[in-house]
Amino acid sequence: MPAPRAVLIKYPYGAALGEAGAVDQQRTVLKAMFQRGLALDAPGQVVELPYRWRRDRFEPQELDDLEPLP
Amino acid sequence: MSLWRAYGAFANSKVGRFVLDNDGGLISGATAHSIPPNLEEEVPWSPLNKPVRESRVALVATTGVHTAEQQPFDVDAATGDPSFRVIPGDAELEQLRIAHVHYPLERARKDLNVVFPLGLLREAEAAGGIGELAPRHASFGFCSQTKPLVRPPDGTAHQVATMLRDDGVDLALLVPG
Repeated sequence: MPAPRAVLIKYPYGAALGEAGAVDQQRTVLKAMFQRGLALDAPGQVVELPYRWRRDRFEPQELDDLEPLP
Repeated sequence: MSLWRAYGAFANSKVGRFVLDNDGGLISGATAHSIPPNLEEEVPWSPLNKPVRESRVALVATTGVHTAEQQPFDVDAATGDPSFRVIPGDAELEQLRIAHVHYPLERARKDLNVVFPLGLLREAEAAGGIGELAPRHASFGFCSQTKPLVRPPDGTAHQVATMLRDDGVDLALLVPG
């Protein structure tokens, strides 16, 4: 049974939200899970996040706005 | 040594961690697409009917997390362990443990947020990004059989869904292990 909404990130197993202690990275991924995942508007859709393991730099993030992206 | 323990030993070895860290997302991407979704089957769907900032949010993970008082998942079971553990919303993160052999554990042992982001969700609650955290969250371990999970009415996934419904959860975040 497919999930209602799914967010795919090509990070290693055991690091779904990122590196240990990498607060900016983890907050970015969490925020994207909400904002992009909840923007999916039909059952069974999957959105792939653009982040590349150990290749991206992450800006500090606040977790005060997790609403779906338009 | 069971097959799973052997795989876990590899995944947590220096060589295993190097391979799994540097596959460019090949393995995780491949397994994500290895079983195409059967869209002929009805997909459960509930539109979010309130803003996230007003929503009660729960975390459900398959990363083998349990409290120190709970029995660990059976990592040697041939087809995995379909049981789940209830993680209280106010659990002390330092007191949580992991029983799983299918992924490298080094990062998770240093920072549980990478596989069980309860700490991040607490930050989101404090920042007003979510309405509130649910009082109970759920953690599964590894299980290769789906029937014990989804068999109605007593499958363990059904039990978790019932628990979330009874707790008035609006939104569940699922994190895979």
